[in-house]
Amino acid sequence: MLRTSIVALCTLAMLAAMLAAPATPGVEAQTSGLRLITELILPNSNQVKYPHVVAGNNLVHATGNANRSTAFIWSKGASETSFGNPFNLGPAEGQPDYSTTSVAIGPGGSIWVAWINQPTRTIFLRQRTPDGQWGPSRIVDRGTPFPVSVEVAVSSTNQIFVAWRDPDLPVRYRTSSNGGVSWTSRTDASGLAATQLGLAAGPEGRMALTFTAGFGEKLQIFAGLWNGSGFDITRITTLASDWADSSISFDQQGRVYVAWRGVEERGGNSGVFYAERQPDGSWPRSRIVGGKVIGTVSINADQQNNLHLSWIGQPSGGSQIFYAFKPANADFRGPISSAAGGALFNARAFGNVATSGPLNHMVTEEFSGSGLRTRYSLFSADSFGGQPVIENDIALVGRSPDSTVLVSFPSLQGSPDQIRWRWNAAPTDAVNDSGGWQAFSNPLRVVVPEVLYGDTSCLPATLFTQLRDTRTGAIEAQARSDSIQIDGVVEVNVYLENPLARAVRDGTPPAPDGGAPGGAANYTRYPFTYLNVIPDTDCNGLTTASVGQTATTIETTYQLSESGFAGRITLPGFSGDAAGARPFVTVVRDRAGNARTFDLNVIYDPQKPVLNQQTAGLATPGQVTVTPHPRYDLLQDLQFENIPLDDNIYPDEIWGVWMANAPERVADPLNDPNLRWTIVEAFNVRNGSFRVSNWSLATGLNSQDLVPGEDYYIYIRFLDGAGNASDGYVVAEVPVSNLTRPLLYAPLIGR
Amino acid sequence: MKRYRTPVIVSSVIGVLVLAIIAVALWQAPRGVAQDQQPILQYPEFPPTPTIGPNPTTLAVLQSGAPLVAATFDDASALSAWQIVDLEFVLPDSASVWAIEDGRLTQNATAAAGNPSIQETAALIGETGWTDYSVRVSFYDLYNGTAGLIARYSGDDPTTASYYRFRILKDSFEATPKQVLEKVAGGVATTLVEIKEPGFSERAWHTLAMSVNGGAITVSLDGTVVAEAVDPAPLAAGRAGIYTRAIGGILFDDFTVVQP
Repeated sequence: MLRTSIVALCTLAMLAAMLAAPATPGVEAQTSGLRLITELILPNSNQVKYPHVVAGNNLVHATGNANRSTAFIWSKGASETSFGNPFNLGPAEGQPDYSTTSVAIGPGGSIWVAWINQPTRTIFLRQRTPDGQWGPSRIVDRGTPFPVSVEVAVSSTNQIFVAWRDPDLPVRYRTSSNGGVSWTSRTDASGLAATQLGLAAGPEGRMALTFTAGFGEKLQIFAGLWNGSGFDITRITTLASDWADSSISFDQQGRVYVAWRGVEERGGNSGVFYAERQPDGSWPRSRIVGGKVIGTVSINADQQNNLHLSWIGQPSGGSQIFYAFKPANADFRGPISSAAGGALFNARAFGNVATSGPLNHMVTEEFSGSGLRTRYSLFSADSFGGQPVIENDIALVGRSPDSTVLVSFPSLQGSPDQIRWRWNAAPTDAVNDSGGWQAFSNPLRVVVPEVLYGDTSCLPATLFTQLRDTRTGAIEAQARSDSIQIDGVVEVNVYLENPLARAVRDGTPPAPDGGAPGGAANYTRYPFTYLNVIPDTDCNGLTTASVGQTATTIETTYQLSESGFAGRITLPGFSGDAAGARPFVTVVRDRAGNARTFDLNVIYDPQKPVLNQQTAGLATPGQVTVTPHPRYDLLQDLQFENIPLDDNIYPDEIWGVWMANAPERVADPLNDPNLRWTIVEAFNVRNGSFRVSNWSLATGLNSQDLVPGEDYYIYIRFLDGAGNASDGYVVAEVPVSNLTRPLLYAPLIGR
Repeated sequence: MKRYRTPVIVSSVIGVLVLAIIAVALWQAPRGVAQDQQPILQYPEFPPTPTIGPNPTTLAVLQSGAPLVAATFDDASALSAWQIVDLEFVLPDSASVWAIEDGRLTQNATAAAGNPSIQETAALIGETGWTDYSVRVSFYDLYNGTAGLIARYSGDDPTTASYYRFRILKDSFEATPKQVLEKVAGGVATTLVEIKEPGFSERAWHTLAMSVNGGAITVSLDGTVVAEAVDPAPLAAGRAGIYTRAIGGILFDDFTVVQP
C-alpha cells in the first residue's frame, strides 16, 4: 500500500514538474538549406533611399533614387553576382526620403517602375517590355499635396495599381488598364492616415494592399483585398501593442500573407510576425522571432508557394539582415544573417524561384557615416544538395550503351547520401523514376526511360533530382533540374534498289549484257547495288552512312547531306565471288551519336535462268494463255501456267518477264533489233504460274504497225531477280485483234 | 500503530510536496501561455552584448567656471527642458525622438514606429543670449556612430538656423573625415577644422567638450584638445546642445554648460 502510494505520488509529482517547467522555447535555428551567396553595393547608388526590388523570369531588378536627382533601375540575372550600371528612368529630385521608387513585374514579364519627383509632386510610371525596350514616362498623378511611399503592382489581368500616401492622409491609389496612358481618379483606400504601405498582385486579377495606420492610439496593420471597385480593409493586429511596416503577398493558390514587426523592442510583442488570411476572413498570427526589428518586414510567396521572409533585426545590438524561408508544406527554416552588420535601414526583399532554385534578393540602405549606398544581398533557400548537370551540360545526348545519362553535381553542398529522380516532373513518394530513394554518388548514371529515347518531338527532357542526408535529416526543399535533348533514335529510311533499274531511271544504263535493265531491289548481277539513305524527321540530323560486310568491318563511310545519300555502292568485300547472298550492312549515324544498323543482304546473281521448254508457242508443261479484254482487245491478259524456269538463286525463280510485241513472227527474237523489250514484274508467282493483266499490244510498236484485224505476236523471256534473262522464250499469238482501245470519258464542261 | 508511523509521515511529506508542486504548476502554466507567443525561430548565436559601464569620472578640459546647466538625467521629466530639433526637413511622422531612460538621455530613432533615420537631430537647451561658454557631454555609442556638440544655436527654423557644431564618427564607419568642426550659418555649413582620423570607439564612454570664446572655438575629446579654430565673423550667441543622427543607439549623460 505504501509502495503504491509513493509510486502514485511520485507520478503526480513528475506530471506536476512537467507542468511547472517553463514553456518550451522556440525551436533551434534550422538554417540548413539557407545560404548567403553574395553581398555587393549597387553601382552608382549614392544617397538612395527606400530601394526596391523584384525578381522574376530568372532576372532581378532593383530601383532607387540616386544622387538626389535620378530614378535608377539595376538589373541582372537572378543568380549572377554583379550588377551593371543602372538605367536612368527619369528625374527623382530633392530630398531622397520623399522621391522614392517602386518596381513590379507584370504578368507578361514586363517591368513596371513607379517613382516620385517630389519638387514637382509628380508620380511617374515606366514600362520595360520583356524584350528590354523602355516605354515613355507616364504621369500617374500630379499635384497631390506631398506624395511619398509610392508602390506599384500589376495584376494578372494587366491592371496597374499605383498607391502612395500623403502626410496625415490615407493611402491613395489610381489604376490603369491601358498601360498607364490613362488613370482612374485618385481614390482613398480607407479613412485612416497611413504611415507606410505595400501592394501585391495575385492570381486571377487579384490585388491586395497593406498599410500601417494609427487606430485606437496604436499603430495597427491593415490589409485590403481588391473587390473590383475598391479595397475591403481589415485590421489584422490587436490593440495590445504597436505594430508597423507590413508587406503583403499572394501565393499561386491565392492565399494571402501579411508580415509586419512589433514596435516594441523586447517582450512578447516584439519581433517579426506574419499571418495567413483564413477562409473565414480571420488573420491568425504567428511570431517568427522576437526582439527589436526595424523597417519593413518583407514577405513574398514564390511561384512554388514557398514563403520568403526578410527583415533587419538587432538581436545583438547592431543591425543585421535576416532571412527565413518556409518551403511549401514544410516548417520555417532560418533565420540566417548577412555577412556583416552595419548601419542598415529600410530593407526590401523579393523571393523567387530561379533555375538554380529558390533565391531571395534583398536591397538595403547602408550608411557609411556620411552617405547612403544600396547593399544587395543574395540568399539561396536551399544550399543543401546541388544543381544536377547532365552529361557535363552538353545540349544533346544520344543513346548510351546502357541507356543512361551521366549526372553530376558540381556545386554540391552538404553530404547527401540518397537521391531520387524523375523525368519531366519533380519526384514524389508516390511517383518517381528512380524506384524510390537510391544511394547517392557524384557523379552517377541515371536510366533514361525508353519513351524518352523514342520521343520524336525533339523537345528537351528535364531531369528533376532531390537529395537528402538520412543522417542529418537534411533534404532539398525542392527538386532541382537540368534539361537536355535526348535523341535516341536515328530516324532514317535505308533501302536498296536494283542498280540497273535505278541506272535506267537516272539515264545512265550500263552497257548491254544480254540482261534486262531491272530486277528485284536486293538483287544484282553486277558487283554493285544502289543504296538510298533518306532522312525521316531525325531531330538533329544525320551525319554518316557506313557500308561494310558487318557493322565492325566498315569499308566505306559516306557523309550525308540534308537530303541523305543515294548512289551506286560497290558490294563490300567483293572479289569475284560466287553467286549468292552477300552481307551488306549499312550503319547510319546522327548528330546525337546514335547509330542504327541496317542489314540489307544483297544477292549477287550473274547467272541466267534457264527455260527448259525452248519451243515457241504453247508449251507443255508450261503454257501461256492470252485472253483479250472483253471490250478493248488492245489489252490482253496473259496467264502463265507452270513455266519451267530454272534459276539458281531467286526463290520463286521468276521475278518478271521481258516482253515484246511484233506484228509478224520473228525469226531470231533474241537478236532482232526491231523488238522492243519491256520489263513486267510478275506478282504472286506460284510454281511458275502467274498473270500479267492489261498488256497492251501497242507497247513498243509504231502506230503504222497497229492494223485492226491482224494477228499479233508477243515474245516473252523470263527474268530472275537480278534481271538475268532466259535465252529461251515463248511466243504468245493474238489472233485477229481489232485493237479496240479503251476510251476515256471526260466530264462535259458547260459554259 | 507504531510500526506504521514512519510510512505515514513519509507519505504525508510527499503528498504535501506534490500538492505544492501542482499548485505552483497550475499557477505558472497559464501565465506563461498568456504572456508571450513563442517565436517559431531563434536567431543564430551572437556574441553577448557588452554591459554599459559607469559614466566617465574624469572631467574634460575646457570646463571651469560657473555652471549654466548641469544635467544628469536622473529624472525623466527633465526632458521637458530640452528642445528636440531635426536639422533637415522631415515629415512629422519621421520626427526624431529622444528620451530619458535609466538616467541617461538617449536618441531613440524616429516617431511612433521607431524606425531609424540618418537625419541629423539635436537636443538643445539654454538661453539664446548665451555667448561665451563651454559645453560638455559624455556619450556611449551602441550602434549610432555619430556624436557631437552644438554651441550658439540661434534661429527658429532648424533648417536655416546658425550654430557651431563639432561632429565625430565612430572608427568603423568608412567615411572620412571622422571629425569636423563647422560653422552652420543660415543652414549652410562651412568647415572650420576637419580631421580624417581617428573617430571614436564604439561601446565605450567618451567625453566631448567644446568652448566658444569670442571667435575662438576649441574642442576636446576625452580630455585632449582635438580641434581649434578662430572664426573671424563669429556667431554672436545662442543655445547649447547635443548632436547626433536619428538612428538611435546612443546614450548621453553628464551634460554641463559653464561660463568661462
